Amino acid sequence: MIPAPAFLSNPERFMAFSRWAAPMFGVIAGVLALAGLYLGFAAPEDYQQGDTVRIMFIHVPAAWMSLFVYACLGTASFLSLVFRHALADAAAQAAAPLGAAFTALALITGSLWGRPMWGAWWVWDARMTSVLVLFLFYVAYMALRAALDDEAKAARAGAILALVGVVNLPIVKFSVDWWNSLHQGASVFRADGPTVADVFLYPLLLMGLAYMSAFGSLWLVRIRGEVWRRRAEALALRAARA
Amino acid sequence: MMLDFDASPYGAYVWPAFAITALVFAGMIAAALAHARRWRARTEALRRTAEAAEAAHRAAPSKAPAP
Repeated sequence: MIPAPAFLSNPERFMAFSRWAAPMFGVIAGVLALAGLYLGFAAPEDYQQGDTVRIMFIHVPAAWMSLFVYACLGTASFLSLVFRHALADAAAQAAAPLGAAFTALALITGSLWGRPMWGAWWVWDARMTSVLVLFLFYVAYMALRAALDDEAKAARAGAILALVGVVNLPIVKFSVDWWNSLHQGASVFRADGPTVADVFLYPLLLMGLAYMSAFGSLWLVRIRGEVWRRRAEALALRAARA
Repeated sequence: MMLDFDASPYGAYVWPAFAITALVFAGMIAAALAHARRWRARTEALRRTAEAAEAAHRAAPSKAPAP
């Protein structure tokens, strides 16, 4: 057996854990978001970007989450494919719509930030194109799962597709280093420390934690929904056979 | 600390970005809760039906001939 957390391999324990953890993460997300937005709107205008800098507080965490959620989807898919954890498959399936929403949010808010700063809503730049490809991987994963009636085949095909998409994660992350890009390079997670002024960095980090907690809460709720759905389908099958 | 809600001359970009973010979060929350509630209700309804069928089966008189 793999050393998976107990709640990942035992649906009953997972349901007991998620029953209190989901609302708790939701409350933490709300508190962190309020604090982050307060500090974000108390921060001065940027000397170059003016008030558009406030878009950073909602755009950058969405971009972080688009990568983080795909990493969760890839990990859950790996566990589902190799170790046949039913709950890992439910976790992968539950992560996809959330990841797609965060990625769409990153693309839309980035476009609204790019128009006044770069003079263009969209450019086929390495960072933006690779994030669009990431969004398409989420959509393809959901479409593939929905297209197959056999749950086991859908899980296997979806997991393989999700693992192929993991290759795109370093491309998104390092696209600004590998190619010339309009998009700025990393300014928070750097070996030599963040280059963002503290007055913008603190609200950004608070918003990042708020998005992370919100994802934690919504992911748990969606996995619970998947567990209920699978139980309902098992009961319906048993009733049909009786 | 004073809050600065005057985003001019970029209000046309800043406020839609915040509004779309709020809408997407509202959608994610509503969809997640609706999905979980729908399937929980369905599971409980099926479980009640199964229990009622089993109880009816147990209460039914046996058709086997008496010795």
